[in-house]
Amino acid sequence: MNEKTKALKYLKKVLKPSRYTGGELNEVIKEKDKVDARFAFCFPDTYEIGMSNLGIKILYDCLNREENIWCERSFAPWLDMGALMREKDISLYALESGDALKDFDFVGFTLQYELSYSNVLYMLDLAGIPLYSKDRTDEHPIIIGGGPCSYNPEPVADFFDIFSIGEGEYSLVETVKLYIDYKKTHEKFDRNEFLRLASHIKGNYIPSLYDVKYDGKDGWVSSVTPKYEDVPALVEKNCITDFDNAPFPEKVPVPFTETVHDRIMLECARGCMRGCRFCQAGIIYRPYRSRSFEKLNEQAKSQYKTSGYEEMSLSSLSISDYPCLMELVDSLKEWTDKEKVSLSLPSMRIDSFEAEIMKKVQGVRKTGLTFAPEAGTQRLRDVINKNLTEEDILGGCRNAFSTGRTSVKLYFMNGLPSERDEDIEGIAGLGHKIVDLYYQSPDKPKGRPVEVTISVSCFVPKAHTPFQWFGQNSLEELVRKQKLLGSSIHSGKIRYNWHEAKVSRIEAVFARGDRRLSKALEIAYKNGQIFDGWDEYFSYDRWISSIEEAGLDASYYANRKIGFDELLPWAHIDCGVTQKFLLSEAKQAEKEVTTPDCLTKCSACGAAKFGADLCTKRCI
Amino acid sequence: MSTHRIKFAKRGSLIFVSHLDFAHSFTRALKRAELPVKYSEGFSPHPKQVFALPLSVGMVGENELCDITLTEDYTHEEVKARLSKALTDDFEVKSVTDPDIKMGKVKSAKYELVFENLAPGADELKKALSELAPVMKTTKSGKEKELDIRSMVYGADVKEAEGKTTLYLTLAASGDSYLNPDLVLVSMRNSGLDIPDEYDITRTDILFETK
Repeated sequence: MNEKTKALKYLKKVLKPSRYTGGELNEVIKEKDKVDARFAFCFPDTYEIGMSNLGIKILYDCLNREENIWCERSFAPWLDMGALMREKDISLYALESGDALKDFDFVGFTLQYELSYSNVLYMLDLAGIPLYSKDRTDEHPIIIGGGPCSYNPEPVADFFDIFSIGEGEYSLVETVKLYIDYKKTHEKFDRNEFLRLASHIKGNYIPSLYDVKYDGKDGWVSSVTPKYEDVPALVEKNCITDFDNAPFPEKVPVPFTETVHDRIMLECARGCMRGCRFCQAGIIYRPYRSRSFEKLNEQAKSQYKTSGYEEMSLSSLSISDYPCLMELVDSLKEWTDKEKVSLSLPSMRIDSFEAEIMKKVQGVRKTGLTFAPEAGTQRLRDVINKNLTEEDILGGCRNAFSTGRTSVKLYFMNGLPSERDEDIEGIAGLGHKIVDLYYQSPDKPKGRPVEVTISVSCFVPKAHTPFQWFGQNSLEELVRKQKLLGSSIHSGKIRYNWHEAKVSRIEAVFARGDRRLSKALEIAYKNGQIFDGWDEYFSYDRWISSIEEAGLDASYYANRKIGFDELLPWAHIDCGVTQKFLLSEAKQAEKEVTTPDCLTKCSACGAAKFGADLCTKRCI
Repeated sequence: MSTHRIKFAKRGSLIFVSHLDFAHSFTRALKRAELPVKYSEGFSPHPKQVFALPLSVGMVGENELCDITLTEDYTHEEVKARLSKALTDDFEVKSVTDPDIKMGKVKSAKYELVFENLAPGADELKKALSELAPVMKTTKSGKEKELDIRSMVYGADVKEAEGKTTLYLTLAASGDSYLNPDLVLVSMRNSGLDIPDEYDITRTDILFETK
């Protein structure tokens, strides 16, 4: 009897049991005796969140295209299920086969946000796999990590055997193939020998093969050096150059239960040409690459036919920069209207917002409008390089109102470098102007009130961004600014949400952390910390006491301004964009000077080394 | 335009899919089957599909019913062939026919509850089933209400074989009067019988009013 069969008996007792059954349409089933390697792809959060992630679907497809590799899925069981599994002695299993994760060859985790780290330990523990890489034997699976957080893998370095840096479509398959070859050519599997060989594959970072010294200022990281000559000192990310022909699934597993993004996702482009200085995605996914609209239309049709989804989202970091948006929308509309499939365009930028497209996209169901000005004044928008004026914002809203929309959502950040109180008050001011604009618009929808939602998150300095050196505001300062904004808003039409500052502080600790934090993470987990991304289970006090118990200080990581001459704990990870460029951007920010986007002018960030023509190549 | 009554089974992983999620998946299955479902008019159009009864999570359904309206004429055979291919193996289309009686006329449903190593014997169980006492039930508004379940049990039988005990129940399942099989067990437990909460349950049939 495998683990899933054991669990099925008790599933009636847990919330949303279909999270744990698998058996969805388009899941991949193979005969386990006929494959050479089994890979469990784990998302360290609930099924509904994990199944909304496009990356997992792409890599699931890439691995399963190989006949002799079987990739399955696993998610973090909700607390009731976790407790039940412990009580009934059920080991964490993969949904497809129901087999225990500990019997797999590889267990991979995608690291999408720092707050999912505690769940990685939770899942390893439920699977009965030793948490620390050093404690695993030749019998245990290889634990591999990837995703945006692996660009600073240090805080979780001790738990992983391999990090796959960058786009894994090809390199992940290559790593598994190397494993298969190794097993076929060696009588006995030697974990360390295999890991050493795996370090030769581009993008693979094997933390155990590096020595870290802490002789810098106040005990800061002073060096990260490979233990052996054949191990790369600088690990360069993988980057797909022929994006149009990069593998993309023809069909994806379709959950029975509703997920967060329960829709077709088309990946129109990867990367962003804007270069907002706080944004990690805008840097690590460089250079900007887009897919032809013909290809996207084909992919959309295939996904629709195999899923029956009624909604399709055109995804990209900044969809309005997609060069053939009009052509794409037109070719999709030729069939989506008839099939009652609605289109949604998230991440529209207000400045290049085109009313014409929005009119077309209104389609079957009307969706709200979301913009991200990020800062309340022009000065601060210049500092963060959000090349966006107040007139752009108001113009965008004017268009939205004239197409019959009454709700506008605006995203901001507080605690940005150089932020002053007037910048916070500027957010409220902008909100008031939008409300006034609505009531002054002659073509606004009749008899309906306007709803302006202002959502404010806290700035978290991230590795590989121009703001990586800048500290986060103290907790008290962040809370004070949140209150200041609350008291600056005087309109009942404005709804104000803010992000819990304590959560952002822990995020900042791990975003710029080093290897010593692995201990703090282990302590926090042992003290019961899981599901950090869920406010009801996040305990700030537990985190702070765990960090202290590990002999560390949260402020040291979150609030310190790192000197431009100090070593960054993630300096051995090469995302393509040079530290020199990031430094010049940081200095431009201090001078409140903007940098043009990649299309207007190349600022020599370094990502052109993957293929200079990629940055500005248009898809027609 | 054509209307079809689909009789289907819902088993395996699908039994853990709630009724609402299943209805949603069913709509998608119709789309994958390229069967053009008629949508309701109005602000938020909904596909015209009507299920006879919702099925509780954890329950197998062997003969569930759903009526659909298509915008074009299709034979029942064609609907069956297309729909069968559009869902997983846990879903089986048993037949497609004309919807002769309205779904509103559903009167009762049959259930089979299978227990392993059940302590009370068949005679004891049968006796308990014939003397079911009312149970307290929490209504949607949160009030406790006494429910006379005996009048809602239309048929009950017990069989024992190879260490397994099966309860066969026919229970009210109309709009005015619906009895959840769990409540029958609650009543039996209240009368002092040892009935565990781990068992397999199947709704075997849905029955209509007869004149």
